Amino acid sequence: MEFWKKLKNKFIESNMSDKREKDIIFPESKGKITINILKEKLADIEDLIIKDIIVGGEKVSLLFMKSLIERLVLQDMILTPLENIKGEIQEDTFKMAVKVEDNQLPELLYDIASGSTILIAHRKNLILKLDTTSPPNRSISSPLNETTVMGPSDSFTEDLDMNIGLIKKRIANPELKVKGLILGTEMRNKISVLYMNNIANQENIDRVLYRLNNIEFQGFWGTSTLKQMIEDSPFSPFPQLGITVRPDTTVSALLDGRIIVLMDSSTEAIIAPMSFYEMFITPEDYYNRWISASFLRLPRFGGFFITIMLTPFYISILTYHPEMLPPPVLALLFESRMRVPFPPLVEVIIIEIVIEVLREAGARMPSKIGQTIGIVGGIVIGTAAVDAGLASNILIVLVALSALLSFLSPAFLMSSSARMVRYIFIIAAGTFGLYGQMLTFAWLLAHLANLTSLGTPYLAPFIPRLWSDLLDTIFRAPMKFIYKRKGMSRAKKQLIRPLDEE
Amino acid sequence: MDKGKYKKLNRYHVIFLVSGVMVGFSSLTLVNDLCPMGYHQWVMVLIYGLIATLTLFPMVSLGLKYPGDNLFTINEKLLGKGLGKIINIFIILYGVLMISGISHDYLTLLQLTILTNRDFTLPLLLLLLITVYIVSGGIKLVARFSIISFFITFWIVIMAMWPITKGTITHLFPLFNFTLEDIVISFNGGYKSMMGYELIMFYFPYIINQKKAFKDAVLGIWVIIPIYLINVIACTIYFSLWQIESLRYPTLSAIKAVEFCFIYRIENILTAHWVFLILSTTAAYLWMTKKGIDGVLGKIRAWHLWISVLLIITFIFIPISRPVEQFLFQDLTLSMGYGIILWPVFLLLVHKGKSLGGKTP
Repeated sequence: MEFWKKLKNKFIESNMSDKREKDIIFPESKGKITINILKEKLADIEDLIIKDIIVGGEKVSLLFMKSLIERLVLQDMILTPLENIKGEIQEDTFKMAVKVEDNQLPELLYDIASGSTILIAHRKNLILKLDTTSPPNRSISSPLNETTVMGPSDSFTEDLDMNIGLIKKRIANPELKVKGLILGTEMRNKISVLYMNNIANQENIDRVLYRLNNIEFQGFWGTSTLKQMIEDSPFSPFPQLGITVRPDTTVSALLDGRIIVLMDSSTEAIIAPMSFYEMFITPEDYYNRWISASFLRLPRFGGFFITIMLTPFYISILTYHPEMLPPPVLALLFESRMRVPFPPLVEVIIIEIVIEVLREAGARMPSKIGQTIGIVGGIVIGTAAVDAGLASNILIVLVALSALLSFLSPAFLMSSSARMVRYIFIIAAGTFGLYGQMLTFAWLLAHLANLTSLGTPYLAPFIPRLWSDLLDTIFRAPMKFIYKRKGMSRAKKQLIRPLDEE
Repeated sequence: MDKGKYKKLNRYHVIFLVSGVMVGFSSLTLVNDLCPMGYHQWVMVLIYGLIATLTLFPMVSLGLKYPGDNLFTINEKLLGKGLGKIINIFIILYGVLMISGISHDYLTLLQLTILTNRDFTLPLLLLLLITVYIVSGGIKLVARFSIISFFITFWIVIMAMWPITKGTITHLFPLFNFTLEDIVISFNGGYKSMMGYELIMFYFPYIINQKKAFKDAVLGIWVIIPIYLINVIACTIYFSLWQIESLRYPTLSAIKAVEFCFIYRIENILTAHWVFLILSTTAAYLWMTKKGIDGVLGKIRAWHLWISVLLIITFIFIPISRPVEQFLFQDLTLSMGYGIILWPVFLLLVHKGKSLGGKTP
């Protein structure tokens, strides 16, 4: 362990020998900023427009990226005010303009690259910067991944401001804080950290901000990539932070005292911290009546454990413990496997891989073809495999059931984890039967007990337990009785509502 | 997982560390070990509970006198560096023998039941690997794993309903037809199933509320006593005296009384599932031996864990005769266990002597 720590520290030190991101991106520039310098720095950019116009007898240059600006915005913000100018350009000619100093060249270059318009008044030696960024965006649509029958059906888009707006529309409260960061040495991703100042645990806020500020990476092409950089245990197969595309889920998390991380150009929000059992909870659980919500949570949570145990159990029983099955069931099994030339372990692995290939093929293809592939593959290949004697029909049923159970978790990453972990169980069952399964299960539980999410135990509220949390775990009590925030949040304010309320 | 020397074990951790470590392999053979008591085994279980509670008192008293030190450090403080280290080496050896004995016995049982005709080298290595993984998370993970093990194996207790309902209840009627000699033999035979609570002397410095440690540890002991009672009662009701004497694992055999239409041989699942209880015991002992090696070598290193593992593997695979094996894993371990349980009494006397002489460390 110490060897790895030393190696890691050595690696970190060697990387830290470079300057910090801010120093790399915005070093002090020396000398004046001129149009020639800008042209030189921004050479070979096809969509850069440099336009010289005469305003009040003075030559003025405009620089902007046409791919990031709408014509109307340019017209309204710059061209119309320029036409109305009487005399020389002043700093206050444009209401939203910011004066650029000579030492701000690197920052200026990044601003141009991200859609700002630069106006250079040559005679006055004045450089103004206007935020005219209007990148292509799509409108709000229904969530594709986290669909619900009840509740709101809007979801985040790729626009950071729009996403913050969707949250602020629901929480119109000055206590909702939004901290902005720029990450990524090459991409310069805009990140927003949201939290309820009067509820969220300060230690959690500091921890998230510290981790974000200490990332040195070229950039993030999705929130999931960023999430992996700030998780507690990067080697674990389990996601330790939540991901959602739903504003209602995000708002519920914020009100519980969690911290939300949003990123521009990403439709997902990171929820921190997040516990293992929360990965099996859907927003619909709170829209439903308590009894049906509790009833539906059970198969979702239990499904995870069944999916990792079902096919391994088939292997264990057939390979090592056939005496455990009643004779009629055993006869049925042996009859279905009569023509199968492989041992159960190989048989299961083949079918599992086939299912995995079908799933992947379905996901990669256009939705209509993907559905067809899934159905055709599932039915035809399954039937053909049984007829050809490559697999038993009972196994086909078990593998299909196992695959379905793995998708019960609303967190896609958790279902991926379940599938990966299942292979470990399959190999363990094939090697040592029930003993192998139980030993792997012990490892799994020890691993889960060892994991933390933002320093909070991942198995909360089971370990460490918090009695009030037990009202909202696998069993959900009526909303009236849920009067405390979850222990996982370690919120400043525990109570949601007064205890003596009728 | 939080590591380092600071208080991190809450009340629940203490309760389940005590109870989780106690239920190791010996609880499977408890009924057979207590056979000299005949149908009055349940009396012995209660006696065990009382004795464990009594012997716990000096352990906690010693801990309260040295709240920041474990038994290894206390030995060195009270007996001097040299003698302290020698005693500590014996304690480490006890831990290693304990793990070796438990692992060896459990894997032998696996060979007899669910892994027939299989060499147990690889299963043992995997068992030790998982144990090392748990210990790597520190004492808090060991405690958490004990909690998980307790609840995940609780169904076994419920299974005792079947033999109880199918057996002869009159077996429990107290006839008191046992002698003092039977009590002594039974006591010595079965006390190994109570071993584990003495580890409180090693994780005492990590307990948050040390003043309540005694209460919590006693609670831990008395969580297990009813479970042992149910086990013993179920077996004595279900089996005849001759069967109790002849069966090495009566608990497993009693589970055969469980009948479901969809699955037979529930004891196979029980045997495999018992690995949780084995792991919670071996992990706690391995953590203790690691701490001991850290103390003896004067450095805290992660690889010290592997020294213990290497010793365990050596003890298990060393080619020795059955009587020597029996002596090492049963008699010697038990004697050392008694020694460690009674050791705090001696240390308290030394402490008292030193404090009277004005040399309190």
